[in-house]
Amino acid sequence: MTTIKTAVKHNKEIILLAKKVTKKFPVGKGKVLTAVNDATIRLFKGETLAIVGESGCGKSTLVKCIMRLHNVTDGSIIYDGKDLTKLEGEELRQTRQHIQMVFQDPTTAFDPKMKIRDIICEPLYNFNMIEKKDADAKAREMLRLVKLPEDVVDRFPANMSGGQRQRIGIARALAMNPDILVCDEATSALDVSVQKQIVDLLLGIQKKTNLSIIFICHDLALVYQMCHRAIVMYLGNVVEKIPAGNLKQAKHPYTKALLKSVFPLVPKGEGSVSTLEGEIPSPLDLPVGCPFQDRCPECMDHGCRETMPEMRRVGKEHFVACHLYDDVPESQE
Amino acid sequence: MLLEVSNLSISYGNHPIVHDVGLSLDAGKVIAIVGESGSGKTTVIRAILGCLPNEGHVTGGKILFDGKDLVQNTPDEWREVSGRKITMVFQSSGSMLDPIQHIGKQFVEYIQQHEDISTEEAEQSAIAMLAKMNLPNPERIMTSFPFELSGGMMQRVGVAMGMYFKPQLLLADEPTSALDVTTQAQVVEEMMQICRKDNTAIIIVTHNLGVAAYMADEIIVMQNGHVVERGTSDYIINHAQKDYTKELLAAVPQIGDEVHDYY
Repeated sequence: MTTIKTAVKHNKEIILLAKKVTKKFPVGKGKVLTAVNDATIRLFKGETLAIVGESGCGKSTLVKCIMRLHNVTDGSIIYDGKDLTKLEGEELRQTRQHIQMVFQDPTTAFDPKMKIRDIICEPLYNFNMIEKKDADAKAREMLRLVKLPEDVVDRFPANMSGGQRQRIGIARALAMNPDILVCDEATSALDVSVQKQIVDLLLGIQKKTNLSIIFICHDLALVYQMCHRAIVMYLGNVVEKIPAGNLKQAKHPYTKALLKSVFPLVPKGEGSVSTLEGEIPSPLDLPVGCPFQDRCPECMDHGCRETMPEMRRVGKEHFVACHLYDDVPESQE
Repeated sequence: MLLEVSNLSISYGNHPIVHDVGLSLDAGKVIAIVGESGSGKTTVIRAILGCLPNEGHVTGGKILFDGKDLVQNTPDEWREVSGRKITMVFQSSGSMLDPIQHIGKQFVEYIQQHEDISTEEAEQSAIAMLAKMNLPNPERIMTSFPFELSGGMMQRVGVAMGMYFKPQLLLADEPTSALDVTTQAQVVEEMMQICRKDNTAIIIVTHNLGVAAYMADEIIVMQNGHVVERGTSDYIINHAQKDYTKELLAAVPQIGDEVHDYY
């Protein structure tokens, strides 16, 4: 039944490095909302990296910092030897073309009064990479790439289905031939059969072009099947980094809880899910110590409520920020 | 038999959307209707509650609820049934509510619409109902505006309102599709518990086959307004015959035991 799968093994060449990124929003009356707290992530070339977590965990904010749609409060984001957070003006604009984004909601991502041809070629016009007369051919080429009929070039976004529109979003992002593609819940609004088509499409393109993908998602089963690595976030903090194929061996209590809330595809009465108690705490006043302490079934009185756990290496490409675990040296694996 | 739908056909304007759908449901049982967007699954349950949008109308068939054909209902008869004997939980309960009124005021208004009790009493029982859905601090929720709550909390308010009168039939239109996995598990669990206690029958429309398999006694698979296949949860998951059902099942990502090693 597992038909979606990535088979690309890759060398570990880092293409993007976000170092200790923190993003705080002032919310008035002197209060500060910490959306992302001290997050460090590496993205390898040709890799699909998933960012997983509940709504409000800061995953979208983190990628918006990478896209420079937000300015970081602290930290650096290194791409191609340059710190993206420091770039300004024309240099920023030129760098932007290498990192493209597909948005969650394909109904609001386009100008409703532009035709598909112009939507796809808009970023190319911006960088003077295309003449008006070549636009039609380029748009048709991109449509073929995302497996849509070529004659939709003259349509408006409103005349297309959700799945088709999501492909237009992908076509527009890929028209720039980017190094990094950021997908913010790109398949959450679609039903399973369309989701599978979109995922297969992305992975097919990745195989051909060695594209690096950051894939924000809250469906762990999809992450297991299509991604190389997963980063789990909770309340603005990265709590676990794990090879996606090993998700079942997850160590952090939050990741384990996420796994247990996925409904298995088995007949009534045979499957079980267990739920996390309570709601995610307010990011306006972060608790001292581990962010997950109030909902954690394994919370220890000692340590968890006093100090923030550090990221520890527990296996190959597997890191956990939890007081329950100690470092495992590389030699003992 | 609580509900018996036979040969139901529905059109929007001149376009037939749903063809010849039948289903029957006993008290306390759960049916799931699954299928991709545009398959007509929402249209079917909207017809049962008599709330098809503008151009929609039933062109043939019967919807027998407690032995009475709902298609023939007059507006007065609907007032007896809808909101009390049959209720609905919508995909986004946030947009079902008035954005500029407190949730409590709307909940009380709903209760008093169907029951002759004082405002204080209604408030108290609304708070008790919210607490039953494991909503933290229900008094505060009563004085909140819809936009102040998270999606999961809003959805639980929707279920709380839907379950308040212990309806005989609860219609749920993609009640968890907009939620995270953790919140989805919570809301599904709470719906199941409350319904088991009150012996409420449920028809849930969803495209999440995992949720359908978990909740439903019977699963109905729809495509382009036709019923493709139906059967017990076990039959559909393990012994589906039709290609469309198999495709649908194959498209659901699953966490297997196999370890993918890329490093």
